[in-house]
Amino acid sequence: MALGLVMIVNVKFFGSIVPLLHKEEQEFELAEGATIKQLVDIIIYNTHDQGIQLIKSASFIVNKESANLETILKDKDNVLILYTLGGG
Amino acid sequence: MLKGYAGKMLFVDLTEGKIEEKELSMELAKNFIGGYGIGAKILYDKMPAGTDPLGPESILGFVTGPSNATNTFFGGRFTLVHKSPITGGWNDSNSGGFFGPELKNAGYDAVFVSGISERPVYLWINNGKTELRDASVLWGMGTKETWDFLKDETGEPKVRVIAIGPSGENMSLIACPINDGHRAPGRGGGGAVMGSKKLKAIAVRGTGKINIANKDKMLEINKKVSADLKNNPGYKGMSTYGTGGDTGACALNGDAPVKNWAGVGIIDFGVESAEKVTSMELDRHKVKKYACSKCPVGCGAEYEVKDGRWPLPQTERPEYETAASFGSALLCDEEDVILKCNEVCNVYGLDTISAGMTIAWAMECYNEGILSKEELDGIDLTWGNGEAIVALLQKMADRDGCGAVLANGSAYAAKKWGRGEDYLQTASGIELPAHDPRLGPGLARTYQYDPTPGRHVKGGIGLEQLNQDPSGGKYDYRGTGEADAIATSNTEVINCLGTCLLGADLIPQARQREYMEAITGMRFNEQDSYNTGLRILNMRHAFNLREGIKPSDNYITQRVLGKPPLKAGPTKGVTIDNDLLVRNFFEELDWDMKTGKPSLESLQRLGHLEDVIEELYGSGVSHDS
Repeated sequence: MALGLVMIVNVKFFGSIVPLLHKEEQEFELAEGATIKQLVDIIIYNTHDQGIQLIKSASFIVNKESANLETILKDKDNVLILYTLGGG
Repeated sequence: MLKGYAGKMLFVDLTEGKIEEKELSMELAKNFIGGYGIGAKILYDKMPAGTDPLGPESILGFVTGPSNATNTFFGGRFTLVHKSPITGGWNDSNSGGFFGPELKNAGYDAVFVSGISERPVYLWINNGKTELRDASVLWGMGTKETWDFLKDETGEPKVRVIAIGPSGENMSLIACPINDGHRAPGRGGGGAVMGSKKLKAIAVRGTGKINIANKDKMLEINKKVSADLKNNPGYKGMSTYGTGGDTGACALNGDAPVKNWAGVGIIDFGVESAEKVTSMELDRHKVKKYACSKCPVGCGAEYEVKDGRWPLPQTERPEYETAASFGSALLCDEEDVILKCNEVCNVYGLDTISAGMTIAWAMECYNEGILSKEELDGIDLTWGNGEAIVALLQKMADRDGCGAVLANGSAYAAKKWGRGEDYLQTASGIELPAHDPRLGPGLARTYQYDPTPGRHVKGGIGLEQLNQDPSGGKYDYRGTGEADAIATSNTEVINCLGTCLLGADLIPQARQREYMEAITGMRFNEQDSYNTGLRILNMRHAFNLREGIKPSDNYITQRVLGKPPLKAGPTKGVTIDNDLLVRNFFEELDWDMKTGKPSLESLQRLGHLEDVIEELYGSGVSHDS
């Protein structure tokens, strides 16, 4: 459980970013009031594969609602990060 | 003399049992490249307007491209061309695997088939020798069994085969042939056309080599492409999980159809269901990777399904379109259902998109009380009912009971039964592929107004918009004409080269022009490419005009345009102004919005469209600008 100025969000990854991250789900500890952009920056910083930069143009859904890089996250939010190539 | 072509085409008359070999004109190759470029030109010249697609005068073409049977990366695709028995207009559909390159190595750039045989036959092409053989014993066989049989009968274990299954034999309008056991030029009813001709299969063995203009240049480009791929983050995802790796993401981000295009993935399908239908989950059945000819990505995989209700000793990883059409579109998250449906379609020779989306239409009709359980032969077609989906698909494959009607697609069924028209999700009568115009609005123009309607492999600005943030202007419909025309022309060139669009999207567009020059020795700069792409587009368009198809005849059902808009989800509130999108496109091309007729000046500017100019403007008009 998050205490004080720290919050925890659960993140699920979908699509072409999964092989870059080698995982489909992760919990992140963020400062209270953090945005999706800050979450994305942390993911990029912690990922060895530079291809992860494409996560910046992914789609985001928070608690079943559409979101964007400016969306402010809250404790226990469920975040989906979706990136597709649009193939057949 | 252009390099990179076999230099010959076959013309087969099944009524007479004659096979004629003709030289491929270098003018034709230079101006129309290959694939449906050459295909449209040949059919325009040789097939009169009003031809019954399932009649003896109908011509069916199997056309390779210059990238086939060279070392061009992603150069493994050939195109099936014909008049569609579904839309009544031009049709092309391409397929990967190894059939196209094998045909070229056997000495032929294309095979065009007309007439109707008295009895089932197959065409055997063996290194420049051709023969029509009796296929009575093959009639009724599935596509995989047919391939195995022909390996024995020809004595060539490496023979490549394109064959129809029972669905094509029965002339199901959504039937397609299958090559290499599981690759399909799936869309538009090519299987029905083959079946109408009693052409069970074409078997090819080719060990020849295609000479190209500049081998050193080819090696140099391939090195650049390898570096391009290494630097493209999408490469790893596509190579690891194939197109099906995106199924879950697409179901949630508003791209894939959900509940016959009426649902919202995140609400109606859910995260857990989305995870279940994605390659990351399905790949537990993976035996090995599969790559088409000269493909450095290898997006396919062979599966062995040992558990579930329908074990499958040998099957394939479903493509994204298949997983979406039998998954989220039907609210079905049962993996064994998707795997079984994929296998049934491959064996019987059915288009997975049209089959899945036809079931989606029937499912909505059933759940809305439009179709009864009795009318569906006792099948309880409630949303997501996997057993019911498999049972109904099998009826369609067998043309049994209600399946005999549904095997001709949803638009046919709605007309036949006189109900359910409001629930159709089609463009000019063909079911829509699994990318949502409400997320990539340019797709609406492509689906409705491309001369081959309802396709995800046709050009335009839509596919690129799928990953664009809504705030970036993709829902501003003004001034899209130029970008739409450029993107469309690029796609025409890639497809006609015989190159995989998916692979081409991973590398810079300039590589295609470089490949074209290295293969053929012909200059092919950006302007050449643009003009050639538009020439091919105009030729397909002219085929439809001659059939009497006007812009007002190109229709798309309204739900995918956001009429009414969705009330939730990533594309909440979106309504597409497709009238403006198409007006922009037609203005850019100089096509008349009412008649569809290209201006004389635009045709003269593109050049090499003499037959189209004569048809539209009469003889005696100058062909050149």
